[in-house]
Amino acid sequence: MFLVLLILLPLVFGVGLSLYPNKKSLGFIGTAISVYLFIFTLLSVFNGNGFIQKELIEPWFKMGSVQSYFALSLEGLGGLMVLLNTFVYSLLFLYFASIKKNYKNNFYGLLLIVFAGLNGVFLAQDLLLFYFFWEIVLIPMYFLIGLWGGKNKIRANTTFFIYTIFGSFLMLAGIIYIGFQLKPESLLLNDVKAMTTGFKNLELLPVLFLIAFAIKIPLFPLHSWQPAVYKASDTFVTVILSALMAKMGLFAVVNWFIGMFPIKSISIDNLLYVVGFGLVYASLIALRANHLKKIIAFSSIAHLALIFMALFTYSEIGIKGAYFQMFSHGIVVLGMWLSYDYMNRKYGVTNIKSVRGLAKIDPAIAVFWTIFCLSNLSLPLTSNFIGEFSMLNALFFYNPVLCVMGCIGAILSAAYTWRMNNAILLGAPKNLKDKPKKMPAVLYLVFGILSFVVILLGIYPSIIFNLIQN
Amino acid sequence: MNIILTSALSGIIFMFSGFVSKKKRHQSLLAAVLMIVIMISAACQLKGHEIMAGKYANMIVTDQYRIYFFIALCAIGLYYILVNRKTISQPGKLVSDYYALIFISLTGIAALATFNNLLLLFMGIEILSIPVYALAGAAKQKMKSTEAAVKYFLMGAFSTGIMLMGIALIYGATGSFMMNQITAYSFDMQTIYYLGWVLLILSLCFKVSVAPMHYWAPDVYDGSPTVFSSYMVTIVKGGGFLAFITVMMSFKITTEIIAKNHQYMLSFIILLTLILGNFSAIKQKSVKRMLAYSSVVQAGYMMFALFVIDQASKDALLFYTVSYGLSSVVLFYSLAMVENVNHKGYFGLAKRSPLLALSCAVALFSLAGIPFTSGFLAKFFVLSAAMHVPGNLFLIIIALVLAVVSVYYYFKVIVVMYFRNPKIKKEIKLSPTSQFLLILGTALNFALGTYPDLLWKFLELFS
Repeated sequence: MFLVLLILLPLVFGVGLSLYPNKKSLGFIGTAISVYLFIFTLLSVFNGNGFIQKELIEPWFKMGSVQSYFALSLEGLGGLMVLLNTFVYSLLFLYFASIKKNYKNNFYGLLLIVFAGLNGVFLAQDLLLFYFFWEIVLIPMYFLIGLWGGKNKIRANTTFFIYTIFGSFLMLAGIIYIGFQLKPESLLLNDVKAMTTGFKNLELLPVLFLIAFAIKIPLFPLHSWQPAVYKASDTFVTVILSALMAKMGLFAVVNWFIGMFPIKSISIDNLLYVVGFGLVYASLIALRANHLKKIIAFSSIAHLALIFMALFTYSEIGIKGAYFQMFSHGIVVLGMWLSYDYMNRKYGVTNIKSVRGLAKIDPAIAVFWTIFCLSNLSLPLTSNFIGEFSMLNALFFYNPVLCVMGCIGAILSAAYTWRMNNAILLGAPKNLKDKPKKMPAVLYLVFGILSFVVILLGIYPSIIFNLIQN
Repeated sequence: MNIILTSALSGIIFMFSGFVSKKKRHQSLLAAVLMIVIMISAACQLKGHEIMAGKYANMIVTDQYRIYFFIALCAIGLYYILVNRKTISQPGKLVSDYYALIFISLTGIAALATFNNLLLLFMGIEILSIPVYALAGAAKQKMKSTEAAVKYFLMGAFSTGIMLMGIALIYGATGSFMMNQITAYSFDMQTIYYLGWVLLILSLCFKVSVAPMHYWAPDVYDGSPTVFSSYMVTIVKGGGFLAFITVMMSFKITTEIIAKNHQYMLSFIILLTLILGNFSAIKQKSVKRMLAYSSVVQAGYMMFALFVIDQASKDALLFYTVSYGLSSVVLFYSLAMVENVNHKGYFGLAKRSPLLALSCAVALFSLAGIPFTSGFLAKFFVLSAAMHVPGNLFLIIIALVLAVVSVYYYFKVIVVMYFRNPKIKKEIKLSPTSQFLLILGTALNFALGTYPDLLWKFLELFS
């Protein structure tokens, strides 16, 4: 029942809120839902067995000879991702409490629908059900970007939507091929796997899926929708895009792509070189960019590309590191976006060339921002370090050239992150919009929890590793 | 025979109902009631209570699937009548006459649902078409409407000629008009029999408006009064597909060569339809014309169900027709309400009438094939039905890539509805009944999209 609640609760309230006429701000409903779900996910994920049922299978409908199921499961990586999702949402909604300018109710409502869709993606065990959730996330996202975006939002939005739906439709063709040509008993992952591993002549099939996932992550040649969308959309929407939706793509690669094609069915190595090139390329752009959002966007592309490469080493340490990094990147990037939003809202920080000396005006945010930046450049004792270290390690044993590419990315990451950090914080205050103000208590809570988790995972990573082990 | 009789009688009743009351409320109510009566009579026919059963030398048969199809079309028709109960008087004041024409064309569909003889097929197609020619020209003062009527009539007559030629050739080869005798006849490529089938299929292509016989469709759907365009793209097109799948069911593929030929022919038709339809729709400035082209495109997707005729593909076609009908009725209703069929009329619709904008958005999602709306499952079902033919993978991939193009022009409407400010400030007032019907249609769209068995549950009520 809890599994259904994970999807149904945000969905029902989300639809309700988006249609509710705008009189009183009802954002607290979102806070309540996400905190409630977070606590229960935390309990059920860490409380090995019993307590909360972790699997659910109900027959859904039948197409010809193929049965599809309404199948959800909280095991493994899916559980970890749901944990990340609920965590990010709880903090996001807590953060809303500090904002004076109220968003309309439908903003919260649409965010909640995205929440439901993301949970669905991470939980679904049936190929068709997975596709349903994968797609439905796009619709509220489309409205979120289109209604609350900044300059060029419509153009960026259309590009984003067409791009992703193009990938999705290719995946749909793959699903149809699997369902009605290979004819598994059902579209459950295990049944599909039994067919796809035994079947020859699958050259095209993995590619169809891979393109869809690569667009969502996004990987190098298919990334061009991303910076424009990050820049044009509201910061909170960007949080969802980078902290959660990019994970959707990676999760799909792990759970579905590697799940369905566990043997190397296409020559993945050449692809990894392209991805590695994309990593370096994105890092170089981040080094030259001046707009903060753009830097974080390209830094995100680089980090996600490294995770993708590590997954395809097919080695234990690489995959574990990738899982860890997926979680950790979500949290760090959330911290960076939220502190960016705070700095932008209060002091008008957008371009790193134009502002200086924030540390003297508001030391609190400077400290938190620095912690997230340090983690972003994977300093030891922060969570990103653990992930990146194990991934680079795995890459080295797999193919040293790829490891070198990853390392260049890591070095450049230090360069651009530190450049951005220095430019904003240090020096004499200049061009800062507002007078110093005390940070609201709720933000201390949000940023405090985030930095705590970042450092905790950096010191004691076994929390996540044990979870993956199970 | 039940359904033919009741729908013909309903048509006749409407010819005279204008003498009793001229109010459109009364007429629409009567139409809705009669539509329900027709559905009940269809249920009786399925249960075996048939008037004059077995007469007419077996020209009329009762096939469960086809009656189901008919009932589904009637259900959409009922929804159409209820939604358009006020807008029906937009083209002119002769409401009862319009309903008479609608019900007479429904008689044609009833004939198509029961025919077992090529002559009755021909009759059905003609009875279906001729009232619609008149409906297309209902707005007599408007040039475009008249043009649509004339164009539709001329092209329709032309396609009828092709169909007659096909029937004649088939008769020449087999010596019979009866479907079961024709089906039993074995043939190969050389005979005129095969040529007859091809001509028959081509003429049916005209009726369902797929390329290369689609050129009339955008002009006619665009030019006709909006209320009747709605009727044409949903119910008339559904009737065409009902005839089409019946003909295809009887078309037995006996040899490898014919199977290949059949596959190439359908692939060619589908590809041409999707490419021409999509790329013409993308540059339309008028929403109505865009929907007209999109109707061509949707027909192209429905053709996927005709590769292999089995239970799955038959169900897929029925599901698609219902899903498309549901969305189209709502969209054409909105066209009638916004008073400007260009994109301009849709600017900021979300501010002028949130409910109308929402139901339009859901209908557009459905047409674009977004999950949780019925349109996605409809597309999924027809494409997976076509997947039974090995080697269709590339066709399906191309079809889906072209669907991305269609997403672009459907979402252009959503962009102007939600992300732009209104150019016409006047609010659109909807009566409570209309609001209820729009909510009902939207909810049904979602319900069918999440639980497709609902449709079969509904249809089983009638058996």
